[in-house]
Parts: sequence; structure tokens; C-alpha cells
Amino acid sequence: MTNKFVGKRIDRVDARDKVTGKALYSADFYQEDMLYLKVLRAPHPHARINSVDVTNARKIPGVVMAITAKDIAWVKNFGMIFKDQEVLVREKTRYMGDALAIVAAETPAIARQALDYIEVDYEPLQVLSDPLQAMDKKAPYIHEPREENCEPGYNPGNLLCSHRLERGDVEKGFAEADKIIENEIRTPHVEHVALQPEAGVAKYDKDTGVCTMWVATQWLHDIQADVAQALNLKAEQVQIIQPAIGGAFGKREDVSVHIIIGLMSILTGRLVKMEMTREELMITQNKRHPIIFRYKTGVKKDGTITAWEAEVIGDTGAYASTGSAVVHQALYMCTGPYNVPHLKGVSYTVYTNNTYAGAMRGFGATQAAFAYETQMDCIAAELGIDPLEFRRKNAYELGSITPNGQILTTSVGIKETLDKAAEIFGYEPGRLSKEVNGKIRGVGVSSSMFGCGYGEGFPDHSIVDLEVTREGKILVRSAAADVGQGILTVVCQIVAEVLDIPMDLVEMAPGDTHATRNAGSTSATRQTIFSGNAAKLAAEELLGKIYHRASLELSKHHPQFLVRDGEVVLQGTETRISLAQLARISREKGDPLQAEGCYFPRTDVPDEATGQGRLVYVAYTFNTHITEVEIDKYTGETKVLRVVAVPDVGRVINRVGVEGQSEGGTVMGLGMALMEKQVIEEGITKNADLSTYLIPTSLDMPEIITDIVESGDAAGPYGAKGVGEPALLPAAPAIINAIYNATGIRFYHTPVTPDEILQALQARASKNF
Amino acid sequence: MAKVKVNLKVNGKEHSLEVEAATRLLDLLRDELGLIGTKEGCGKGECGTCTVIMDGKTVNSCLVLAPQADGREIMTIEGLGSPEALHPLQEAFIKKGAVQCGYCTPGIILSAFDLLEKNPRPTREEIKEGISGNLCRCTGYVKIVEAIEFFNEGRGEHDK
Repeated sequence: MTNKFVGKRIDRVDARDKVTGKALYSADFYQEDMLYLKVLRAPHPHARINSVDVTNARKIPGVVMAITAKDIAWVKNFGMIFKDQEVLVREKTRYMGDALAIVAAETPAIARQALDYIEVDYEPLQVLSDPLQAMDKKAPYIHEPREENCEPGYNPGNLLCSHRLERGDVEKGFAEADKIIENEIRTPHVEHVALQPEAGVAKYDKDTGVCTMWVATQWLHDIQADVAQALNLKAEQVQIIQPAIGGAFGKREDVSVHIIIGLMSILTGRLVKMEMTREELMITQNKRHPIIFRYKTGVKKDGTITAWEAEVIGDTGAYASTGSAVVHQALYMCTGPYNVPHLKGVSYTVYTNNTYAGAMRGFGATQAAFAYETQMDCIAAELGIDPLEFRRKNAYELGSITPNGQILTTSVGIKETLDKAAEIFGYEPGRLSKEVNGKIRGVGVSSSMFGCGYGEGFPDHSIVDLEVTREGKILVRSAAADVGQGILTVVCQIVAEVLDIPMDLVEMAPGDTHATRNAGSTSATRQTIFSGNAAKLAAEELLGKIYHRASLELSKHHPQFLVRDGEVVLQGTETRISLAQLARISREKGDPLQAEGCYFPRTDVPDEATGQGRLVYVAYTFNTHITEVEIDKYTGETKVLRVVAVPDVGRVINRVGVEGQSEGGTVMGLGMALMEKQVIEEGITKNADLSTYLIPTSLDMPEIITDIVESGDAAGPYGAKGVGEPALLPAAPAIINAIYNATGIRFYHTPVTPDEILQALQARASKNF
Repeated sequence: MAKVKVNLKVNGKEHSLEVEAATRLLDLLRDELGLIGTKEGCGKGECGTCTVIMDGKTVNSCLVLAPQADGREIMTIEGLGSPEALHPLQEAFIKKGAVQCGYCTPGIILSAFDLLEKNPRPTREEIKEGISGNLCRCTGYVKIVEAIEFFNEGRGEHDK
């Protein structure tokens, strides 16, 4: 049977409100008599705080409250994995985003002004900005030492954790190799630049004891739990209502304004609003982890990889956030989608006084993809094998084993993505760069893999509830956060598909901790698989209930019915009953037409010593890019001309959505390759605005052709798997590899800026001279 | 702070307001008139999300003080169309999948509208140039450019 909705180009369910400016984002909630909050941030990245004096700030007319850590001794620390972050710092600052005081005032201007009247007495401590320095035993401790977790020989106050990976015998593998290639590859701090700044509104109801907040998050129920524990409330006392979300990319996995607005609504008894400035959020909120990869790879002359060793060091900054998971994911994905018989690796997650790092699109796998695709390209060049051919030779197929020891049994489309990309691009093996009018063109190849879902045995599920309304519409209740990627449209499509009902008869209830059940986070490229499956299961159960009720009402058997366009039809007759009517009857009989779907697959916890497990992720998404660049010899400027992107998504649910992810991911990767680096020197950000931290504009946009491989047998609904993060992964390495192809100059870091290219070209010219 | 009287026309409607002299046009529109379709992204004129059209010219409303808008005519996204009566350009954005998170969308649609008012037959390069003051982090701009082209093709059909 052909699908009516699944696989088609479907308009977003929220687009009408968004194109007319009607969609409400966090900052768009207005009410009379609101108080406005501003936060005093750290004066120094690492300092002993002697006192914070708010006496003068409190005297300013219009200031309603000004508090420091001393006023909220009862408030607990927060954090996604480790509760290592203070709402207001008590004894010392660890980075420039630490909060020292909160002011609530009648206008934003008064609150801002009041910050200038707060006096802080502090003693600067040594700032640790380099993770290698922070790991050293001699370095001062940023956090209290945690001996139990620390590796001998490392700094117990700064090494957060380490992870290991081991399969086979690398020494044997290196002995079999004809060549051994070693490289160190680095990635920097990168900022998400979701266009909507962090903001939120909260009110506290003294009678019910419930604090209600309108604030964006990628995971309603997890943020609810963290806010509740920090403020000594029960989870049900914290209600979060999800507004429209102006982008996320991992930024909104962490707490931003949530605890502060909740706290101040309780303390002041008034409705409070907080909006961060762009500068404040760039300094305060999570970054992409800078990661150092030290690779050693053994290969035979014919291009067979024999062994791979990796050391991975991630700078998580002042607080852990999701850092332990991000950095070990970089390790777990360290060889990419290529067969490696002997493998050994270790990763370290290290505290520094930099802005803390957490989730950002790809979650360690993005940094890893840049590293392994650089390494693969270096090896191909060293062996004199075409880079695409070299990847093809080593690429996974059914039966291949991932770094975690998972044997791939379904949906391995990596070779098809390479072949399809080559065909569409018109790829010529062994192609040399061309120079026209001082401009050099080159072509780069990159592939990638990404494990969908949390995996590793971490509890991972989504629940979707459905109900037939009095009007005969299907009401969908899901807490899945639509950060722009389009999960709500995907869920509605699937419900419409199963129930054979027009899309406009499917309605979404807004995300609300008190009205929708846990959907897990919008992260780990998991929502299409998890909430998609939950929606399908719920719709199938609802369909069963509809058949059941219809058979009772019409005294006919199930196979004689057809559910279509909001009606149950008795086939071959004029008899029909509308869903609205059936819903009314069901409700009257005390058995309303409701159904739930819960998708909760099992994964294995990998062995601690070796990282090996059997079913570590529910699915892997693969993606290949072939990219052409043009470099101006005289300015060093790189222009990306053309990208052919071929993801293997298992099965397309919304074609527009998959293309949109691919295009957006490609351009985000272009930024990563050529522009983006948050410069943090001695803990201080030097470019906390969008004039000095550049992201691509429409003028940087290349021609992008996305074609899709549908292997069709993945764990998601209709055989789908996710695409959000994998869409980004191959983009940056393909560009850097194309720069190599054009110039013969290899860069081992991002971003590669025009001045670096110019310098490298000049250095080479003078050497040749 | 001193209050200033500001008379301006917004989406065809006259308004007379008393605001503090340092009030930004962005705040006047959002806080005073409730036109929340105009978004703040950076407050420094870098991202273009607060774009509105003032006397037939796009401006970053975070960089315009309310008194500078005195006697001017402003158009915001609310002036272009409504969910019940979309402007065809808005419809093109929906049809072509040019909207993801939607935060940059009002500003980009207004930049595109202004471009098309001045240059009814823009080339692809001119479209890219025309929206280059508006950042978008979700779409990679591809479907935005396609939506503007699609709208223009439809308009071309109309003209025939």
C-alpha cells in the first residue's frame, strides 16, 4: 500500500503562525506588573569571592529585590549529570558566566542599572584555560578533588572522568601494518547561535504551591526535575509550558534562566521575566567542546586498516554539563564508519576556567567526524589511493563491527551514500586541482556515522497520547520539543497515515509538563525514532479501539470496516459513522476513544574497561558529502561552490524536513570549517557578539544537492532513523579535505581562515623559490 | 528620564505615544503596541531578526530610537498578512519549507518583501544579497531563496 503522508513533502504544522509573527516564543509572554530580572556575572574567571554587597543596589527606586548566595542558602546545586553548578556562587567563581547576584526591578533598565551598584570583593586565582595544563597534577583545583573518579597521575580536582575502548590487539595490528600514520587534530569552542536568546517568564501560585514557567527547553521533564531539586520542590510543583522554540542545537539542553526565574517568582511572589543578552548568553551558556584527538593508525599498502589508537581530550570548561557523555561519544565514534580490527582508545573530560561546554549538534561525534575524516584523507594521500575509493574499501556493511563491538544487522547504507554522492557529483577519481584566474578549485570527500538515541543502556523512551475529540479530530499529546526540526509535523503525519485522516484533522496539544508525558529530549537524533514510534503505536491502538467500538455499534466484524477521512465506513454499503459520533458514544459508555503509545527499546551498557557491548545504539545514520571549493590565491578566501549531500536516513518521513536538515547542517558545517571559533583567552571571551563571531549568511550559501538513501529497515517508524545531527557531521571535513585537494596544504584544525591559507600558500611559495 | 511624544503610522494605523527618549523602535512595537512578531536576536544590528520596513526601507528596529520614527510609516510582519489571510509570499515560505524554528522568519520575509518591491525580477544572486542582512541558523538559506523565487514565478504567472 502506498503511503498518503509518510515520505511526502508536508507543510509544517506550525508554519502559519511562524510566517505571520503569531507564534509565541519565551520572550513574547507579556503581562502587567511583571518584574524584570538581571544577573551580575563573575568579575574574573577564577577568583575567591570575599563578599558581594547589594546594599546600594537595593536602595535604587524600582528595585524590588537584590539577592546573593547568602540569601538562598537552601537552594541546591544543579547540572544535567553532575550537580556541580551553583545558582549563585558561594565561595569562588570558576568562569565568567558564574552568577553572583540577582536583581528584580520594575523595569529592565532599572535592573540593569542596579548591577552597577553591587560591590564585589575578590581575590584572583590562577586561571586554567588549557585542558592539558589543567590535567596536570600540579595545577590548582577548580573543583573539590574527587579521588574516587580520578586516574592516578592526573589532577583530581580537574579531571572529571575518563573512558576506555578496546577491541582486539592494537600491537598486533600495528605489527601487520605497512605504514603507521600519526596526527593530532583539534577543534575549538563553537557557539550554537540559535537566533532566539535565552528568556523566560515564571509565576508562583502560593495557594497551590506550583511554579509555572513559560520557557524553551529541549527536554521538558528533565529540566522540570532539575529545577525542582534545586528549589526543594516536588516535580509536580514545577510546571513548564513549552513556547515556540527559536532554535536550539543543544544549547537548550542545559538550564539557562529556568532556576533563576522560578526562584525569583517564589521569593517576590510576582510574575518575573528574564531575557539574556546575546553577549551574556555567549559567555554564560554552553559551548561545543574543544577536543584534541591524537590518532595513530596502521594500514597496509592496499589500503586495509589494521589498527587504530586514539587519545581524546575534551575541555568541558567550568562545569560538567553533559561533558562526560559528549567526550566519551567522541571516543566511541573515533574511527567513523570504517572497519578496524584492532582498536584502543582513552578519553579524558577536563575542567578548565573556560565557558562550560555541553551538548551541541553532534555531541562529540561532530568533532570526531572532523578528526577521523582528516585522518582518513591523510592516509589516502600517504598511500596514493583516491580518497573516495579508500573510504569505500573500508566502509561498513552488514556484519561490520562498530568501535563499541556492536555487530550491524540492519540499515547500513554507507556504501550506497558514497556511490550515490559520487554519481551525482560526477566525481573523477585522482582528479587534480584546477587553477583559473588565480582561483584554485578542489574537491573533498567525507563520510560519517552517528548512533541514534542515548544508547549505552541509558533509559530512553517516549510516550504519545491520542484522543478523538468531540469534533472528531485527533488530539495528539506529546512533550517532544520542536526546536525547528519539525518533529511535531512528523508525529502528525504518522497519526494521519495510520488513521487515514487528513492532516488538518490532527491537532497538537502544546508541550506542558502537566499535560503531556515524557518524550525524552530533542537530542541524540532520537525524536523521529522514539516519538515517531510512540505515535505509530498509539495510532494503531486507537485504530483498534475505533474498530472495536464500531463493531459493537454496527454489529459487524472488523474486516468489513474501513476507517477513512474521519469516518468509519461499512464496506460495500452506505452505512457510515463519523469519528465524532463514535467518540461521543464511546464517551457515554465510559470508554473514551483514547490510546497511548510508548516506545522504550533496550540497549546495553558497554563494558567499563573496554567500551564493548552488544546493542549499544538502536540505529546508526550515515552521511556522505562531496564538496567543491574555490580558493582565491591572492586573498586566501575559500568559497564553497557545491555540496552533494547523501544521508542514509532509513526511510524519509517528511521529505522537506530531511532536506531542510541536510541544507541547514551543511551550512552550519561551512561555518565550522571556515569561520567559527569562540576565542576564549585566559577564560575571557574575546568575541561575544555576531560581528566578531561570524556565522554564514545567505551570501556564503553554496549550491546544495541532497539525495537520500533509504535502506528502509531501521528501528524507527516505517524503517526510519534520525537525521538532525548526522546532517552536519561530514560538512566541515569535506571542506577542509577540499582545501587540501586544491592546495596540497593540510590543516589539522577548524576553522581555517583566509589569513591562515594565505600564510600557508606564501610559506610554500617561498620554500619552492 | 524625559518622555517624548511620538506619532507614527504602523501597519496603516496611526498611533500617538509618549515614550522615554531612549526607547528603541523595537521596544515600542513589542512592549507598547504588542506587535511581538518583531523579534530581538542581538540588540546590536547584527542579526536582522528585528527587521521592519520604515518609509519603504528595511531597518533593524533595535538600532532605531522611537523619536527617530516620529512621523514615519512602519510596516511589521503583522501588516503583511494574518494566519487567516496569508500574503502569497508567506504562503511561498510555507510551501517551500523555508521555515524551521521561525525566529528569523518575520525579518527575512520583510527583507524579501522590500527587495521585491524595489526589484520585482531579482536574480538568485540579488535575492541572496537582499536577505544577507538576516541571519538564519536552521535552513542554510536554500529553501528561503527557493521560496522567494517560487513566489516570484507565481507572480510572473499572474502578470501574463
